[in-house]
Amino acid sequence: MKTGEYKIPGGKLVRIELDVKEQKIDSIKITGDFFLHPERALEQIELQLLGTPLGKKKLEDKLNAVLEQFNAQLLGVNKAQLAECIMSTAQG
Amino acid sequence: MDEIRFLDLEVHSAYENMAIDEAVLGSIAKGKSPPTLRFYRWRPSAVSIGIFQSLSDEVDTVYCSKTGVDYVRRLTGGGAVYHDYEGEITYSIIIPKDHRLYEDDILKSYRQICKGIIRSLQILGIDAEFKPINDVVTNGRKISGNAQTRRQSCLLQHGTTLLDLDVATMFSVLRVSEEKISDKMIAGVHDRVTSVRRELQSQTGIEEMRDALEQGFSEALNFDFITGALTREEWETAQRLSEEKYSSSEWNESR
Repeated sequence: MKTGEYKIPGGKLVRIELDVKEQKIDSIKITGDFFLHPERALEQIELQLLGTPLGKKKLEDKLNAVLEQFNAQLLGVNKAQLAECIMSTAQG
Repeated sequence: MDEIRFLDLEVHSAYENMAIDEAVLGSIAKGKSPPTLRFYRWRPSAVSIGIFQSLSDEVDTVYCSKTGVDYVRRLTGGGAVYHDYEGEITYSIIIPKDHRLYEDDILKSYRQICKGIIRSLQILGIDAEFKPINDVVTNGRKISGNAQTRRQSCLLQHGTTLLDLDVATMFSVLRVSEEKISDKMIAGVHDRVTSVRRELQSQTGIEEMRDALEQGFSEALNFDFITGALTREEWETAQRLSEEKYSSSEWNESR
């Protein structure tokens, strides 16, 4: 299991716990003091990221897709930064 | 000026406080209760964590159990907060989507509702301002933290205003490794966080602060307070949520 902790400049703290298998996300948990409305979208983000190939663009697209499904808003971290956190954790 | 049901300062456990907020929201969603503002305190003192936080990362649950400090996961995002019984008053405001105060833009909405805190602090003699995303600061130091959720076509914002700051206990209940609890770090907190008593160099009482909050929220948000109470249904729902959800490890340890 890989873990990463990131303080978003001008934003909130994001922690990632990640398992990677064959360059794809095998399990992921995202925690922190950010805001996401509606809150139930986070579990769906974690679920729908499973199997996503590691790559900033792919991750960002996937995050965008889930946020659109829920008409969701992130505060304290944006989708590009969240994708960045996941990539850094995978590489770290 | 319009009316809002006012649930005046009450003392509850962490579980009950979070359960009452949710029960009131559910009742407003069903059209059974009016827009509501509550003031409350936490006894025993407790830690609340944001809905997305990991309990074990944020809270020293062993220390909490040993010293009788409760911990609870909130419905709202944001960070871990130590709610000292003697050291703060929490408010929550719950309004339906068609209310004049409801604002789609979340940041604007925080800014709007936090005017109640800022006005209250001004009444006490403290100049404060909103600091995005969700803080109220005075001289650059945080004095109030706030968190919001939108669900069931309602908006709930709750937040705390510090009367006093017990840094030693705060560091004991929140997860900061032992070696980091140095004098230097405690000084660091005093640079970032402050309280009404510290700003005024006085022993402001909890009642004085309650009065200021009542006047401040009423003036800044243009409300006529109608002092009320929970309905029987709200209280029964809150009791159930307190027992089945907010005091459960299933909820509190869910992340």
